Amino acid sequence: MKILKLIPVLFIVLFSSCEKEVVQPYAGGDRVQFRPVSTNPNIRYIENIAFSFAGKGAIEEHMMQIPIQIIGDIREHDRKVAITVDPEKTNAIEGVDYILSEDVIPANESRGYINVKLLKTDALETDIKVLSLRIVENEFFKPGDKTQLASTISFYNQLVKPVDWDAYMARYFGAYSKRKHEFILFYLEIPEINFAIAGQESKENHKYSGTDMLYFQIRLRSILSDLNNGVIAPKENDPFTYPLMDADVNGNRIVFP
Amino acid sequence: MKRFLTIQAFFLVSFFILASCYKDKGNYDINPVGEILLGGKTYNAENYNLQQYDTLKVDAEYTYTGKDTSALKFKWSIMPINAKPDDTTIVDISTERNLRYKVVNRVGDYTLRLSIEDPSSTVVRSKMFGVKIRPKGASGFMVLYQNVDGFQDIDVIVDNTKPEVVRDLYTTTNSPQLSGAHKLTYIMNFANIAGYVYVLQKDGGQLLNDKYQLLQQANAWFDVAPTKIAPTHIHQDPGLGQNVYFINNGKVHWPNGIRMPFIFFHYASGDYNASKALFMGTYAFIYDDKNHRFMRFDKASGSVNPFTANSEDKFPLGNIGNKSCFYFNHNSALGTAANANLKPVAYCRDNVTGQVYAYRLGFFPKLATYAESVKEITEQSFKEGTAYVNAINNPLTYYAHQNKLYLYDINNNTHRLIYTFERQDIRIDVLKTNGTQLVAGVNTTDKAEGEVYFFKIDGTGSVVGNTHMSKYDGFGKVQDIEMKFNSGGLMGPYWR
Repeated sequence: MKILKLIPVLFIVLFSSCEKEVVQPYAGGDRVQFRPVSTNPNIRYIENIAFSFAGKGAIEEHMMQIPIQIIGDIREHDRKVAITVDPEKTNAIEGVDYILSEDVIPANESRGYINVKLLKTDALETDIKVLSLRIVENEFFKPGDKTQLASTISFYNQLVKPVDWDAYMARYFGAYSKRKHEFILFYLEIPEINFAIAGQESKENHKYSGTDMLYFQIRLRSILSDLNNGVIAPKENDPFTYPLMDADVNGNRIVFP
Repeated sequence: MKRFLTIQAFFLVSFFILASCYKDKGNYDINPVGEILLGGKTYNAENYNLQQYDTLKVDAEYTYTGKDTSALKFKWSIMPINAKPDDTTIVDISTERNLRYKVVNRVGDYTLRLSIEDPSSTVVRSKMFGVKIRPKGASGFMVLYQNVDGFQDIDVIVDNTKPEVVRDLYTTTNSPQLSGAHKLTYIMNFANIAGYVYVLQKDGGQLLNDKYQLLQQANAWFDVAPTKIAPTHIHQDPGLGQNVYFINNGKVHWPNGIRMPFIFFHYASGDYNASKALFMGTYAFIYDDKNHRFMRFDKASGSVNPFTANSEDKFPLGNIGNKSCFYFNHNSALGTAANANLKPVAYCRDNVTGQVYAYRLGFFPKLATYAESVKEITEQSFKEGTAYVNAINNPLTYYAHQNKLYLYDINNNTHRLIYTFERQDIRIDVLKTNGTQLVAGVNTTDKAEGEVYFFKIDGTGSVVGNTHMSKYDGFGKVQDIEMKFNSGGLMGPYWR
C-alpha cells in the first residue's frame, strides 16, 4: 500500500522534465574582449605577445594588430572600443616607444583589431619594452570575459640563440653567429626559428622539423651565395653588407654547410 | 528369482551391444568422391595486370580424380579486393571452363575467384587471383598535341605495332582544358611505381597521376614557389631514376629524395641562365645562355659553377661567344659518357652570323671534363633543321628538315638522307629514339594536323626497309611524344 502512495509522486517527478523550455536570448548587453589568435578551440587566450625587431631588416616601426571580438549584437555602425594603458605593468612611453590609435568594431562586423604602432628605438637593443593594454567600458561596449580583457606586448630588438642550435640546428646552418641568425630570419621572413623533433612541429610557434630545416638550409645557402657574388640584388630593407661577415671588424665569412 | 532376472538382463544388454556389430549390407553402391585440386598461379595482387577493356584470359588449371570431368561446373567471379563474402559487389562473370572476360570494371584492384563444383558430391573448390585494372592508356606513347582551337590534349598510342590509340585522355579526365603545354615527362621509380606525368607549360605546369588526373599545379612543386614559373626540362635517369633535375626559368632545381610528388629545393646558386641542359647520372651540365658558356651543377654545394680551364681545351668552355644552343645531349643510354666515342655534344648557332657549330665535350679519367673539339657545320639542311635527336649507341644525330630525315655523323662532319616523306606540305617537329627505333611527330604546314611515324633503324642508323613500321594520325599539331611504361617494366624502355 505504501508503494501505491508513491506512484503519484513518481509521476510528478517524471513529467516535470516535459516542461517546454524557452531559450532566452542573450541579454548581457554588447561587450568586447580580446580574441584568441588560434582557431583551435583548445588553445585558450594568451595575454602576452612578444615582438622582436631583430631579423626584420631595416624597418623602423611595426604595426601590431591585436584581434578583438564582441559578445552581443552586430550593429550597422562603427563602434569605438575603449582601451587604457595599465601603468603598473607598462614601461613603454607613448609617442616614444609606441603610438595607439582609435579603433572600432566596424559596422556589420563582430570582429576588429586594436592597432598599436611599435617604434624601433636604440633602447630596444638592450631593454625590453612592455605595453599592457586593458579593455574598459564606454558608451558602446561593456567589458567581456574577464580573462580576455588584457593584452601585454613585449617588444625588443635582440636575438637569443635557439637552445637547440648546437644540438640539432648546426648541422643545417653551421656555427652560430648573431648576424647569421638575423640573416636566417630576414630571408626566411619568420620572426623566430626553433628546432622541433618529429611530430612536434608547429609553424604557428616557429618550431620546424628537420625536413623544413633542410629546405631552409638549401634556400639560404643559395641566396647567400648569390648575394655575396652579386648575382641577385638584396631584397627591400636588407640591412646586411655583402659578402656577409659575422662581425664588422675581423669577422669571418658566413657560410651555410 | 532374483538371479533369473539378473541373467535375463545380462543377455538383453549383450544383445543390444552385439547388434551394433552387425554389418549392414544396405542396398546402395559405394563410390569414392572425386577430388578437385586447383592449380595455376599463386595469389598475388597483380596476377593479372591489364587495362580497362582488355580481355582477361584465364584457363582453369585443375586435376580431378573423378570419372566425369565434363560434369564439373565452373564459376568465375570478380570483386573489389576488399569485398566481404556476402558483398553485393561480387559479380559472376562466366561459367565457362576458360575465362574470356572483357574488363569493363573501374580502375582498381580486384580479386578473381574461380569455383569448381563437382555435382556428384556438391563439393566446391575455390581459388583466388589478384587482378589490377589500369586505365586505358596507362602505358604507351603519350602524344601531346594542339587542336585548331588552341587547346591541347593527350592521346596514347598503346603499342606501336598495333593500331589502337586512346584518345583525349586529358580532356576526358580533367577540366578546364589544357593550353600552353610544350613538353611531357614521365617519371617513375621504386618509390612510385605507378608513375607521374609532368606537363610543362609555358608559364606553369601540371602533375598528372597514372590515370591522367590533375594532382598539382606547378606552384606546389617547390619548397617556396618562385616568382616566375616557366619550366623547361625535367630529367630522370633511366632505370632506377635516382637523379632527378628540374629547370625552371633557367635555374636548376633538384628534389629532396625520390618520394613523389617531388618537392624541389630552392634553385642552385650561380650566375647563369640554363637554356639547355645535359644530365648524366650525377653529372649535370648546362649551357648558360646569359654568359654564353658551359657550366656544371654540383649537387653537394647546390651551385652551378664554371669549368676549370684545361690546357687540352680546344675551345673556351667559359665563353663560346654570342651563341645560342639549340640541342645539347650525348650519345649513350645511361650517360656515364666515359666511353671514347659517346660524348656530349652541343649544337649552337651564332646569334650574329647564323653559323652553326658542334661543340663536343670530352672526359679525362675520373670524368674531368675538357673541351674536346669544335666544328662548324655548313650543311644547310642541318642549320635549318626543325628537330634533332642524338642516336644512343653511336656518334650520330638524327635531324629533320622539311619533309626529310637525315643523319649527321659527328666524327666525320658528314650527313646523309635516310628518309623522305611523300607529302611535301609537312614539317617534322619531334624526333625521339630508343636506339632501335625512331619516332617522328609530323605536322602539316597549313593545318593543325599531326601524324606520328615509327621507324626501325639498323646498326648504321638507317631506316630499315626505307619505310615506316607504323603510322598514326588524327592528332592536332604534335608537340611532344613521351613513352609511358607501366609498373611491369621498372627499368623501362629508354627513349629520348
